[in-house]
Amino acid sequence: MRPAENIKHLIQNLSDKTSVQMDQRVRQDMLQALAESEKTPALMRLKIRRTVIKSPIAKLAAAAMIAIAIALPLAILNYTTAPAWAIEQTIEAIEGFHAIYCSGVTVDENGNEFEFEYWARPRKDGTASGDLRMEAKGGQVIVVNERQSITYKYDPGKNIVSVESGITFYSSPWINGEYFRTMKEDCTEWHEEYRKDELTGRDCVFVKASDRDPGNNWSYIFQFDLETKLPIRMKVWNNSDFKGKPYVTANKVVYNSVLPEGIFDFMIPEGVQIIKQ
Amino acid sequence: MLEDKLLVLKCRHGSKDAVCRIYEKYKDYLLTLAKGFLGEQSEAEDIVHDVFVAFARSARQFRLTGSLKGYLATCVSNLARDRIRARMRQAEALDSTSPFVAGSSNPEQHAAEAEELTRLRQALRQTPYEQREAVLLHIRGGMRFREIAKLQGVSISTVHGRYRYGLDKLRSLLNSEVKK
Repeated sequence: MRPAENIKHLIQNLSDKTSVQMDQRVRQDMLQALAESEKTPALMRLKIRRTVIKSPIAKLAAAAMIAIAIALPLAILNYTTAPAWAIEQTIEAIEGFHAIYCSGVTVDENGNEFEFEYWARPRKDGTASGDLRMEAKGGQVIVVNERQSITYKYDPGKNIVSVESGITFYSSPWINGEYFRTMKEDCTEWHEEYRKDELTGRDCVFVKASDRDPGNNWSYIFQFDLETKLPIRMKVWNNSDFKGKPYVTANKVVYNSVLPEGIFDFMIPEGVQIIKQ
Repeated sequence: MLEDKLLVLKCRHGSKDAVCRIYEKYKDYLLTLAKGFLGEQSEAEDIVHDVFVAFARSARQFRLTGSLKGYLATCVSNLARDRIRARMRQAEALDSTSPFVAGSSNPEQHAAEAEELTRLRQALRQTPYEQREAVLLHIRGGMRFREIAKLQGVSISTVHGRYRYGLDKLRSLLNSEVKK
């Protein structure tokens, strides 16, 4: 008799891939639908707002809310000291930064840890990385050049360079102000602890946060420098309980680092096998 | 989750790149589910197409309350159910025997797939739709019974039952296949 576990395993292995033709058709129709949706005016929101303002009770409630909103921060200010750090300061400090360098340890698809260095710039819309270079200690290199729309993956162990059309490797989401804003809104747990950085002695805040969602849990420790307000180290786990080894440990994060000239160009080494995809 | 929220936020601002990235991220997952529900490649592709186009059309007003993956899987499931109902109506009209037993996948694809998976797909086609849906959404879709119950409009215990019966049916179909 075939055990149920075998069947579950089989079902988990079910995998279908979309065809190139389908991808083209869906992308084309999606972008058209998105463009058409732009033409639809947002009248609904306007109507609701007008209804609220017309109602006398709503007017009174709105006035009361405004009074509370003004009075509450003043009362708090009288009895407490100003916080040393708030995520909004980081969000403000991080805007306008357009390059990042970090180094640390991460794990590959087989769960093996490896050290890495990473340089990247965001895409135009800021959703993910565009230009990118990632170097592993073992010699593997991945270079993405957004302008040329090409991705190189070099494995010195196998002496192979895979040349792929388009951006086939990227970091997402890009860690910018919006990332932290969403993180603050979404995380179910959020703890701030003020202490000095063990290596530099600089004043820092350590933010421990976790994001619970069925099937997609993450937890984070971000370390922000209190003077610059920028993140300088981070650890990310792919579970919501900080269990086990982190998925990524970035021991050094530098925003707007001066990127070395030609860092996103890749020179194919002589004598390697080139695989074009 | 965080990545999805950011992508949805970008979509609301009309980012083409974000819409395409959501498609790239979930296209294979949704196609696998749709094909599991329907057994037909072309119908599954149509459903995935319709789900993403509808998503793009409403992207500017879209508000994500749960997981995007779950939302898209629910959309696929709803459309698949509509298709199954349409098939059943058609089958009744044509006095057909069963809408599920359809040797429809193309032979080249069958040859390429592992033999076991092909047998599983055939067994899935012969499993009652609600049971098949519960099994696929829970095991392959990663959805909780509570979420599936909401989607199917039944109690959690009913979903548990459908899931258990579905697995038993698959097991008996696959075992009888082996004995042959």
